[in-house]
Amino acid sequence: MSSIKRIAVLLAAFVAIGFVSQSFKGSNVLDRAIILGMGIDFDDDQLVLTAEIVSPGNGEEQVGTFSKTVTVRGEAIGQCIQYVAEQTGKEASLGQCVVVVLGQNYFEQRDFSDTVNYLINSDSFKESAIICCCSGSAEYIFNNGNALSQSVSMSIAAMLLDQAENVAVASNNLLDYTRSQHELDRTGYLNLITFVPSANSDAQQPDKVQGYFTYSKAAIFRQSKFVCYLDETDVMGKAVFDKDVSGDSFVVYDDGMAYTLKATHKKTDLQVSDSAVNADITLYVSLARTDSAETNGFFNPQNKKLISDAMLEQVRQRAQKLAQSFWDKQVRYNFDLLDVHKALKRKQGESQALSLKPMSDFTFTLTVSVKEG
Amino acid sequence: MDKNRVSADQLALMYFLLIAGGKFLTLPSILAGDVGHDSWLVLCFSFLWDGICLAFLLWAIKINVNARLDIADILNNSVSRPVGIALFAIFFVIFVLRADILLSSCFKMFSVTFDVSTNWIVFALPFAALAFFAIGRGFNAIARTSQLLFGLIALSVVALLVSPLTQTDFAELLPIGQAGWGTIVKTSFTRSFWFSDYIFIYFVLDGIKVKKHLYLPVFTAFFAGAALTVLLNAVFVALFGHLAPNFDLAMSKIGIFSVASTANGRWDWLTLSVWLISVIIKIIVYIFCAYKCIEKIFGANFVKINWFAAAFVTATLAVPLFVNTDGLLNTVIKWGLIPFAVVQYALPLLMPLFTRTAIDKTEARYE
Repeated sequence: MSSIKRIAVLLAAFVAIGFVSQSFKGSNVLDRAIILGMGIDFDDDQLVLTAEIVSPGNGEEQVGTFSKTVTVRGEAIGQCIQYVAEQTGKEASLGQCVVVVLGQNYFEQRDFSDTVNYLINSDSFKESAIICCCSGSAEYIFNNGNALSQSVSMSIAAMLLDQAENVAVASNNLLDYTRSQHELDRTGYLNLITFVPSANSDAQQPDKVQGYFTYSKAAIFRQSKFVCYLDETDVMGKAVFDKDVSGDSFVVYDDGMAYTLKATHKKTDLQVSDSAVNADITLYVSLARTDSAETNGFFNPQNKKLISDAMLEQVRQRAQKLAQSFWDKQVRYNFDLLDVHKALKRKQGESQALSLKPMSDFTFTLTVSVKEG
Repeated sequence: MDKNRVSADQLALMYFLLIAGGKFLTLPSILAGDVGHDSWLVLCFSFLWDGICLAFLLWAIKINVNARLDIADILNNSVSRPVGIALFAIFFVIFVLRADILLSSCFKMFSVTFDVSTNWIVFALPFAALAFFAIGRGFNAIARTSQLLFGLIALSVVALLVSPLTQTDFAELLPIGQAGWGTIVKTSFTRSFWFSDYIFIYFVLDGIKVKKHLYLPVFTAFFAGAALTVLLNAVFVALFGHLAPNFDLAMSKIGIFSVASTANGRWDWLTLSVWLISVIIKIIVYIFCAYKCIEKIFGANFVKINWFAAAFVTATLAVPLFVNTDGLLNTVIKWGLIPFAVVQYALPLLMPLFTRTAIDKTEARYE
């Protein structure tokens, strides 16, 4: 090929690359309203969406630390998100959304499956995002700050993603929740967030109510319709069965002294047959101490025994009572958070009869043992 | 130097990329819709047929090592030229359809994952230019590119899979065979359009340099590619359960899932981009083979590269501009299943016989 031809080909290639690259329209990060969390309420026959937003264009603010909330009304979640874009003048971006909170008047009164389906089917929405519900309105939750953190969404996500499993609270993400509403008995749970106001010590925002979030309760749903609440005792009862959750704490008495024992890990064995469920749970507990190096688990050296048999027995009785109480609640409201139906499905395959099988069809035998470890 | 000559190792690496290249897009959700959590079994059966056919095809290559007859010579001397032309026409349709459907999935994947909007012409243009260039450079150029990028692409797929793999509860795949073994085997046939990636080998039959081993590298690539595909499919259906049929871009969902538990940003964009290169290679190989089909049909006019034919073949990448690819795929499955099965499954089994016959006839003619 002659030199002129080579230059011509090179020029043509440059022109082509320029033409092609100009035709790919990506959205500039400065033009985006990055939604960190969403609260969804229902009021006056409309959805009320409160979005916590960070945007790189927010002047002097530090991205990720300071955020603003925008509240819009619409008939469906998709429309609300469009209105967020309209109000902010920026493209609403859901890719970094870490939490979705459903307000009480929404989840108690409405079937919210269309909202959940919209989110799970959105390509950029992380299915690992936390979904939970709250006492009162979600708008109130998002407009009141956590005393220890500037972002409500980040606070809730950190609590339910990282902390919950260490304080004996099971938590749920969008994927797990959505699957629970589509598969087998179609029941699942959402953690219930409650805002507890406290004194405002933030000099920069003296008018803003500050406080803390608690998440020791939950709500049960069947096909995204509210069934019942789980109180603190029920949530602790569920935690006894859950081998991925630790930190169950028990106060026991010995020689007139009160001690706190914490479950460090557990072994659970759930044997399910067509008519019976046998649960065999072993809790490994240790003495709770402040700031001590509590390294526990299966692969740690044996420590000197500090807990008496009488104390272990007290824990056993308490755990047995919690677990039994949780099972009874499952039977009373006919929901299945212990995956009994799933265990049967793995043996027998999926069927309509299995999906409709009530929890009361199973006789329940529970054996709890407690060891120091 | 023959531009279409490749070594057995190059062939093996390219085959691996072709297996991994197209099956992580829409196929997992289609199979999940067909048979639920048993979709990995459909893949196992499909790969079983593929393995058998591949063994016969490699046998034909062994027979052909010294004679170096191309596919047209073999078919013309064994089943007659008219039958050969009919088979090339079927091949042409398969290659063009596969390239278009892959590119269409690629377009969606690109827009969804990278949040970039563009139009089909601009998106397809670089692919068409690359394919056009590849036709000119010969198969050897594509094989060497595959060889160069193989390690990176394989690492990317593994990196995308590692995190979801550790979070997958494989008990979700129980009970095995719930959809019914008959349904599973039938689905492996009805979805055969997505398999038999070895069909490109027909068009380099005369250009494979076999020194020592042929079966070992090719079957190693085949088993590695098949294992990776089955594993990814199993992870996908185990993670997403009943929702799997709703997620039509498996790799995109797996990518988001793999970064969800970390705070290291969207590093899946990097791995997905690298993996997408294997899809690009696959599309280019198919366009190259489609051109070869035209060349074999109009043999006498193709002593050198026919640029008009090359332009026509690359222009077929514009088909999704006029036809909905999902609808096209359904029509193909309805009407094209049997003709496609002839070249995908019947022809490889007969290839050793056809090759032997063609060699005997050619030798007799020279004697």
